Amino acid sequence: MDNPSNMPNSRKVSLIAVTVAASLGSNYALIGFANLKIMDLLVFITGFLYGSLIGASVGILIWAIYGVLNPYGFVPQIWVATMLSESVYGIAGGILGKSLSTMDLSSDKTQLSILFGAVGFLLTFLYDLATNIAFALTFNIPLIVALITGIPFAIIHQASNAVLFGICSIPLLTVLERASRRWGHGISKK
Amino acid sequence: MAFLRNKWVLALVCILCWAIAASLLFSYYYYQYTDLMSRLEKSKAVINLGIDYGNGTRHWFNGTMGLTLYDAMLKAGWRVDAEPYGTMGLYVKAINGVEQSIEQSRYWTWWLWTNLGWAQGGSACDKYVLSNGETILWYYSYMDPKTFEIKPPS
Repeated sequence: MDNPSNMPNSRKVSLIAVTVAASLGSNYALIGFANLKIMDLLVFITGFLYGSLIGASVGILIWAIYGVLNPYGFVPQIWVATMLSESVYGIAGGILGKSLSTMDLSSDKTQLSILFGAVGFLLTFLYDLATNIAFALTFNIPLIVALITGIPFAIIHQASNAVLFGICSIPLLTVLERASRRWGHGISKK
Repeated sequence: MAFLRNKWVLALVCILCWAIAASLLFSYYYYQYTDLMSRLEKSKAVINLGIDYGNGTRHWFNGTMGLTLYDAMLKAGWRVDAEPYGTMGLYVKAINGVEQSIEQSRYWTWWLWTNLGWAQGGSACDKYVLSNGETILWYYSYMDPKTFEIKPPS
């Protein structure tokens, strides 16, 4: 993994900017599909490769833009809640990346895929829980009603993220690792 | 991560995800079910329900509540023996122990009171949605086996 403390600031900034741009582009492209986004995966992968701080920054920045320029509308309280909740993917990615830093991604693929899928599911569950609580408090809706009526969307979100995290994490990490090595930035997953 | 080597830990994590998903779905459908039931309970109609055994005995159960006629019959405490015919609904064979008789050509039919008198019910009792204030009579009577004609209740 790239040690973020060894990275020049310009590279950190450009990395965050490129990831935020990619996530935003994918978000707007998938605007018609409610709760089906690859943004969460990208934030998680960024955190996994470059640490919790960069991962969380990417998560917050994406929502800072996407929450304001959103065809579904702008609500300040929800905006803050989504920004903070999205950063959880980056933080968890950073923690998991640190824990798995000695592992070879090419081995134990099945176990890792299952782990990533489960992590995606659980993180999305926390994200949905937090944003639904924020929604209930903002619009003065009984909490239990907000949580229950949000379940169909939450299930789609959690299931899609479990599949995306489970299937796409390892190929994405492998490609980024290779690319990073080619650019002289050792992602030490070996 | 050492726990990755232990497949039971991974299985446990997967079971946790399944448990969360199952609990969410259960909560959602339980909420939907109870909400629908409470809405239906409020929309139940109050009717005058009667039963005529065809031997001069007629009992009225005024103020019976129900969503469908079958629902009201059960609410009135009747013992109904009915056979389901798919989407057509229930065919009532016996009420309160009085069974239809093919030999004597005596059957149960239901009748709705209108301004013009009794009108025979046009659908199965479980398919008929009640309206407030209706007067409905179940009538055990002779049916002409050739013309399928039944004389309305008096």
